[in-house]
Formats: sequence, C-alpha cells, structure tokens
Amino acid sequence: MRGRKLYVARYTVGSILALLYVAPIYWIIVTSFKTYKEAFQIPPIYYKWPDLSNYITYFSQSQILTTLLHSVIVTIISTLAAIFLGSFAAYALSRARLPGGETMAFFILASRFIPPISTVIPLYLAMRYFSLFDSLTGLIILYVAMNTPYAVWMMRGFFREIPVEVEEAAWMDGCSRLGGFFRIVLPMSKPGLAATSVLTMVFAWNEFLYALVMTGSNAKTLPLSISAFMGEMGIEWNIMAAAGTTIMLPTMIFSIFVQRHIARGLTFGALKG
Amino acid sequence: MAKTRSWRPKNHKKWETFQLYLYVVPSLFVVTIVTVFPLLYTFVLSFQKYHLAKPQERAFVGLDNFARMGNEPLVTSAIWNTFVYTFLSVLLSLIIGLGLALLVKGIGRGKSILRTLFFMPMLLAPVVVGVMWRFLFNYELGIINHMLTVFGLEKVDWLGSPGLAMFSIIFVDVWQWTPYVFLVLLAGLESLPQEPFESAEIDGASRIQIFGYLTLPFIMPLILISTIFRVTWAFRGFDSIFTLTQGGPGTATETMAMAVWRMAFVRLDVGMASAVSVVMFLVLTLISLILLRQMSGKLRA
Repeated sequence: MRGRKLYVARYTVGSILALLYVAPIYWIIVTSFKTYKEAFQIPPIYYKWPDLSNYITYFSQSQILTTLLHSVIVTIISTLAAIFLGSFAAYALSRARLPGGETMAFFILASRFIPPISTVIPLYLAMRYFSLFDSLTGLIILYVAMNTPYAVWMMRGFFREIPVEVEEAAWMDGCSRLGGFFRIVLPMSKPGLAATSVLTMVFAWNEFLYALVMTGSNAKTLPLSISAFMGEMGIEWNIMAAAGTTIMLPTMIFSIFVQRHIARGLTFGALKG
Repeated sequence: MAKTRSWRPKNHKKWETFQLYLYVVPSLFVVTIVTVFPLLYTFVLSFQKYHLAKPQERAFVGLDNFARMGNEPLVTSAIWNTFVYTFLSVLLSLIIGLGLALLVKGIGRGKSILRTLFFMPMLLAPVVVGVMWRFLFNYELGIINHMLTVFGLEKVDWLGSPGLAMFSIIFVDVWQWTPYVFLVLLAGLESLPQEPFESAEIDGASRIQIFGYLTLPFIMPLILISTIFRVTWAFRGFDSIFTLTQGGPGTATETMAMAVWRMAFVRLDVGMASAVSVVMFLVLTLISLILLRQMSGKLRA
C-alpha cells in the first residue's frame, strides 16, 4: 500500500524540518554555555556541556534579580486578575440570551484589534498623571486590560461546551448560580483554564512595548534587560544568550504541560474540539 | 418534564439576569478605560500640534498633521514598509504553515513532540527572537554566514543592506509565527470528516481536485481566522524589528509602529505621532473588517 511508504517519508521529513526549525533556539542555548571566544570560533562548536558561568555573570549584574522579580510579580498578578475577570465575563456571555450580550462580547474582543502603539501615547500621559509611571501597578493594570479579552474569548469557547443541564442539576439541589459556577463549571473547564493561563502568562512575560515606554529605572521587566545589552560595539553575545535563554525558559516549561489544549485556544474558541 | 421553576419567583429571574450582567461589567470596564478611552484620546491628540518639549505651544490644528504626513519621508516610507512587511509575512506564513500542516497531518505517534517543537518559536519573547537572529545574521561572526562560506558562497549582509534587511525582518516574523498557522490548520485538517474524501477518491478525483474542491473550502474559515490574527500581529510589529534592525539601515525597515514610537518618544512630537497611529488604526480596522466579512460569508456557507 503506497500509504505506508508515504507515511514514513512524511514522518521523516516532518521530523527533520521540526529539528531544523528550532535549531536557532538550540544554538542560542548552546551559545549561552560558551565563553566569548568560543561563541565565534571557526569551526563552530556545535555542542558543549552545560556551563553556567555566563548565567552567574548575568545574574550578578546589579539590577537583574530585581528585574526578574518584577517580571514574575507582574506576570502572575496580571494573569490571575485577567483570568478572574475574564472567566466571569465569559461565563455570563456563554450562557446566551443576555440582551446586548453579543455586542458586549464583540466590544471586548474587538479591543484586541487596536494596535498597542495607537494607545501608548495617551496611556503614557495618563500613567504620568496618575503617578503610575515607572510602577509595577501601572504595568499590571495595562497587562490585565490587554489579556482579559483573550481570557474572555478563550474561556467562552470552553464554557460553551459545558451543557447547562449539569448546572441545572446543581441548581435543583439548591445550589446558587455563583456556587454552580465555582463548583461545577470551573472544575470542568480546567484544561481551558490551564491553556488560557499559559497563554496570558506568555503574553505578559514577553511584553515589551508598554514596559519600554512606561518604565524608567524602577519597574523594569526582564525583556527590557536584554535590549539594554545592545550597544553598537562589542556585544557580549555569550552573556546575551544566557539572558535570552533565561527569558525563554519559563514559557517553554509551562507550555509543555498544556500543549494539548493550546491548539483549541489558538483559534480563540472558533473551532470546536 | 415541565421546566417551570416554581421555586424561583419572577423577580428572582430579574436578579439572575442582573447577576450575569455584573459578571461582565468588570471586564468591560477595564477594557474600556484602558483601551477604548486612550484610543479616543489618540484621535484628539492627532488634531493637535503637541510637542512634549514645548508644551506651551500646544494648539488645535485640525487636519494639519495628516496633511503634513505626506511630506514627511519617515512616514511615507514607514507606510510602504508596513504594507510590504505585513503582506509578505502573512502570505509566507500561510503557505508554509499550510504546507507543514498537510505534511504532518495524520501522523500518529510523535505528533505531540513535533507539535511541541514547532510551537516553541511562538513562546519566545519577540525581543529575544530579534536578539537571537541578530546574532545569527551577524555579518562577520554569525553562523549563517559561516554556513554560506562552507558551501563556497559569499557572506551576506543580512542586516546592513536595505533590501536584505527587509527580507530579514520578514524572515524572522515568518519564523516566529508560522507555527501559529501550522497549529491552527493542523487542528482543522485533522477534524475533517472522512466521507466526502472517501467518496471523492472512489469517484476518481485527482489529489489536486480533492485539495481544491474539498480540503480548501473546509478549512477556509480557519485560514481566514489565522490570516486575520496574523495580519493584526504583523501590522503592529515592533519588538523584533526594534532589536533586529532598529528600523535601519536608514529607514529601510522602519514600520509604522517603529515610526510612531520614534516620533513620540525620541522626537517628542506627540501630535504627529498620534496622527500616524490613527492612520494605522484606521487601515488595520478596514483590513480586518474586509477579512471578517469574508469569514462570516464563508461560515454561513
């Protein structure tokens, strides 16, 4: 059957392509283990046993640990807030028949079509006005606003798949609507919550533009630290690689856990199952 | 079974509905305050002459900023660059993403691993991706040029020559976001119903015919969704371009987003910057509406 040979061929080609595709990532990780000289050696060093000296250098830079902490705080809090707000809204919007519900849903989702650069100037002015400039709180507020629409979008798709009958059964046992939400619907949507949290955490962790514009010296987040390395001359690429890998690592680790559900989330609820 | 909720009087029903509204309000509030109001204020600013270093000269000037945009070379080249960048990035990632999805479709074991691998570029901060490729594209020391010399070819100035720099930023964007298209289309391809394909094969249709008349129409909604998102993301491209070329050489890779940033936060000309970002918003909205209309048309079919 011609199917068998073709299958093996596709499998092989697919695997080779996948490895080639992520080769640059591998290269950066390996470079982060090299000394400055080794980074440019000809012929190139393709493999090296992990050596963490660059990481030690990177982290002993005065600001870095603080910056890392900032990123962690901002990411976790804004994700929790966005998921919290978004889930409630998504729940209400998924149980249809709410007058104006579709309009509200559209409004929330459409806000993500506005390029961030189009709102950055007034936000910058507002942040200064409200003394939120160069503060973690300011960034958190911005990231919550940025991520809540995605949370609403994705969770609505997941909630829609939970039949109302399950909730109605709970209501008949005397459960309130809110109670039903917490005790029935949410636990049943754990995959959705996991996928959504990972996506919003990734967005927040990687965010650059607002962090660039809205921070001075006090509230810097991790992505800023890597662009700060870019001088014109003599960039220490090996340490830069360590910085880059540090920023990459959390998102890659988290995503492994929810990999299965990501595809569904990526279509933002438009595709079922 | 009669669904009369006799244990829930009429005003309880009203409380129910009200409760649901309450669930939506906080999200609506946050989104409006932080996204919609600033957008409106950007419109307001675009009609003003407003320079952060000379706030006392702030004045209403109507459409003056928009008129002046045509003469400002930074803006005109930025508009062109953005269109080229967006169009090519989206087109290439669609083609490659679809190709990869067709290749990998139906593979059983190991699909998880393949998916995880392809998925990785999307997880990286665009800033990091920019830095990474800047390293790879480095003229003297980057590994790509090294590979070229190994094959006897000349080193290429990926980031230093205007045409190639544009290619490089497109390449990087395609590299990072093709996986998105790939994953969405793969999911779509794998949820296709079997029967139409089987009957088509029995009827003797060629593979190209099957693809054109069956596969494509089925996944068209997904192609459109991923196109809309890709266009939206590429159009606003900033982070990776910022680290890869800083808009250079000259203004060869200065997209509208970079131009707005530069005008607002380097030149401090907030009025003009706002005008350009208004144009950005309007153009993007127009394109999105066109694509969305296409999509709802297809969904109804």
